[in-house]
Amino acid sequence: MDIIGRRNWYFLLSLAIILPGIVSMLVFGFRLGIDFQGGDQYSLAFTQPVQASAVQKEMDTFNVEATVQQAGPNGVLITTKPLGNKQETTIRADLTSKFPVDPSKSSYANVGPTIARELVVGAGGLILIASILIVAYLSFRFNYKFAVCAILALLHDVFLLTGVYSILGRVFNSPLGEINTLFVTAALTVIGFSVHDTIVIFDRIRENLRQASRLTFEQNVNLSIIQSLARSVNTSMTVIFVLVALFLISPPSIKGFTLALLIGIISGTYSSIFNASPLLVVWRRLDPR
Amino acid sequence: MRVDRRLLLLIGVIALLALFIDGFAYVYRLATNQPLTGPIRGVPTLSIPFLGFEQQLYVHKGLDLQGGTHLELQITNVKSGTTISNARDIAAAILERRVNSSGYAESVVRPEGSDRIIVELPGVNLEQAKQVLGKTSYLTIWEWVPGTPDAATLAELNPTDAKKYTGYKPQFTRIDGSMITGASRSTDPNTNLPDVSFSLDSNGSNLFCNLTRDRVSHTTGTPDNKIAIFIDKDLVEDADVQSEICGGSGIITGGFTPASAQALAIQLSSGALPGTISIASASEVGATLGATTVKLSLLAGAFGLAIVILFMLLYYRLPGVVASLALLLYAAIALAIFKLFGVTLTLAGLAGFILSVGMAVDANVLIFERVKEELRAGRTLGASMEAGVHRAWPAIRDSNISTLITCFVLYFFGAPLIKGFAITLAIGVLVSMFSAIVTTQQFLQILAGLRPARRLAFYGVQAPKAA
Repeated sequence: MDIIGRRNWYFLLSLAIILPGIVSMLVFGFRLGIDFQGGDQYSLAFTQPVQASAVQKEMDTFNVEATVQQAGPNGVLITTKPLGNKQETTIRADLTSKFPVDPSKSSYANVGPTIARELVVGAGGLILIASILIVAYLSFRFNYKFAVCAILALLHDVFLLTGVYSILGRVFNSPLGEINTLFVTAALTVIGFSVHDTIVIFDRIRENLRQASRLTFEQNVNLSIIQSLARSVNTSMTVIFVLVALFLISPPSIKGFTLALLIGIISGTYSSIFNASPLLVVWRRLDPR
Repeated sequence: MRVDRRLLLLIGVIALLALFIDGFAYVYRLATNQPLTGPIRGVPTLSIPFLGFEQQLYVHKGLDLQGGTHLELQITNVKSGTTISNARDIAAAILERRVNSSGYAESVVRPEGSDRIIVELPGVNLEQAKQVLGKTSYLTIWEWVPGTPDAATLAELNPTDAKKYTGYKPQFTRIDGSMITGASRSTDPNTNLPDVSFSLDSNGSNLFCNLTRDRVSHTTGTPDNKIAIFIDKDLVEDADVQSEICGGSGIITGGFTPASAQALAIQLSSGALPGTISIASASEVGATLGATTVKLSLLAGAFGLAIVILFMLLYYRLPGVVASLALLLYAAIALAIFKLFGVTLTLAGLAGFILSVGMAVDANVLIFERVKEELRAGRTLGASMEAGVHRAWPAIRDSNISTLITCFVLYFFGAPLIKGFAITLAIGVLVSMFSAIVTTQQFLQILAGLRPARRLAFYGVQAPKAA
C-alpha cells in the first residue's frame, strides 16, 4: 500500500471537507449556545405529546425572541434572549399552566451576558495553551518538524469539527450543531486524541529512522504508517464503538457532545494516518536537511 | 524478564484494596442490616484515624446527575467602604445562613473569583432556590410602651415576643435594617466580652439618638428602658439602654458568645446585603432527568466495555483475555479512586471516564501488535512479550503525556464543567498506564511461563516458516 505516493489525493479529500466548513464559518458563523451568547434555555418534558409549534405560538406572545424546537415527541427545547428574573418566573408559570409539563424530567439554564463573554475568551485560550504545551513536549521528544506536523494535523481536526458544526448548526439549523461549553470540551478531547494517534505513528518513524536501512525517508514513513495501521484502526474502532453506543442512547442535552467526539475522533484517525506523516515527507522535500 | 513476584503482589494488593473500596458500601449495608438496593441510610465513612483520613465512600454525583439547582451569583454596587472581595464573603456568609436555615441537605455556598458566589442546591428547583436566597432578613427596632398589643402588631411580630411584658406593647420606632450601614463583631474593652457594634445612616442616627435619649431617662431594667430588635418576626435582642447613643453608631452588649455576636452582626447587616446580588447564571435539572442520565451513561459504559472485550477476545485471542482482565481491574481501580478522593462525577466527567477506557485499550493494543510482530519474526514467546512491552512503551508514554498536558490545561483554566471532565480523564489515563505497563505485562509473563499457552495460534499468529 502506497499512502505517501497518493498523499496529494488525501490532502485534497481533507480540503474538500474543511473548505466548505471554513466558508460556512465565515459566511454563517455559528449557532451559539446560551453559555456563549447569554440567554435562557428550557428543556421541557411533557407527560403527553406536544407540538413545538404550539409552544412557539405561546412563547411568541411574550416577545422574547424565543425559538422552540421539537426534542422527541414529548419534549421541546426553548431558547430565548436573556430574561429577567421576574419574566422568567411569569413565562414558566404560564407554560406550566398551559402544557402538561413534567418538572422532574425538565431542565432549565440561564447564562448572563458577562459570563458568556468570559467563556468565549476562555475557550479560545485553552486550545491555544494546550497546543503550545504539546508542541513544546513533542519538540523535546522528537524535533520541531514532527511537532509542527502534529499540530497541523490537530488544526485539521479542529477546523474540520468546527466547520462541520457551523454547517450543522446554521445551514441545517440543527440543535446538534450548537457551540457550547460541552462542544469546547469535546474539541479539547479531540485535540488530545489526535495528538495521541499521531505520536504513535511518529514513534514508529523515529524507531525505523534509528535503524540504519537502505530505505529512503519516504519509504520509511510509508512503512511506519503500514506497520502501525492495524493498531490505529483497532484502537479507533473500539473508541468509535463506545462513542456510537453513547451517541445512540444519550439524551438530547448531550447528543451534540457525543456527536462532536465521534466526528473529531474519526477525523483525528484520518489526519494522523493520511495528513501528519505525509506532511513530514512534504517538508523533507522542501527542506532536505 | 521473569514474572516479578513483588509486582504481582502489588497488583494483588491494589486489586483487593480497589474491590474493598468499591464494595465498602455493600459491606456497610450488610453490617448495618440494610437492604442491598435502594438509598443507604447514613453515608458509609471510611476512617483511618492514624492517617487523619476520613472520607465518605460513595460516588459524589454532580447536580446534572442527581437533579437540583446550580446558581452563579454576582455581587455589584458594593457599598462604599467595603472592598468587593469582603462584600463577596459577607454575602456568601449571609446566603449560607439562609440556605442552612431552610434545611436543604448537601448544599454548597462558596465564593468564586473576585465577585461571584456559587450556590448548589441538590433536589431543589429554581423557584424554591430563588425564594430561599431572596429571603431578606428584615430588621426592625421597637420600643416598649404601656398598653396591650393590637391585632396588627400581633400579625407582624411573633405573639409570644410581642407579649413579653404584661402591660407593655412594642411600638415601631421607624428604624429598620435599611438604615444600618454596617455591623461587626467587636470586643468590649472593659469586660473583654464579645459584643456587636453597628452604624446607622444620618436618618437612622437621628431617630436612634432621640430614642435612646428617651429610653435612658427611665429606670434601668424596666421595659421602658429597653429597646427591642426584631428580625423578621422574632425578637433577637432586648437590651437595656445605658446611655444615649448619638453620632450614628452603637454597641449592643449582653451575654454574647463570639459565635452569637458574629451571627447577630451578620443578621444586622443582612437586612441589607453589602451590595446588589444578581443571578449571573442558573441551571436546574429535574430529579428524574438526572437519574435517567446516570442509567443511560452506565448502560453506554457497560455496552462499550462489552464490545471492547468481545473485540479483544476475537482479534487477539489469548492476550485478549489478559487485556480484558486488565481492563476490568482498571475500571475497578478508577472507580475506587473516584470514591476515595470524593471526585464529583458529572455528565462530562462520565464521558471523560468512558473515553479513558478507549485509551486504556489503546495501550494494550499497542503492546499486542508489537508482540505479534516479534512472534512473526520468530522470537520465543517470553522474549516477544518482553520486547513487545519494551518497544510499545515510548508510544504509550508520549501519547499519554500529551493527553495529560491537555487535562492539566483544562483543569487549571477551565470552567467547572470542564474541570470535571479533565480530572476523570486524567485519573483514567494514569490508571491505564499502570494497567498496561504493570498489569498486562505481568499477566503476559505468566502466560509465557505456562506450557499449554505456548501455541502461536492462541496469539492470532501463523508460525513463521522455517527460513
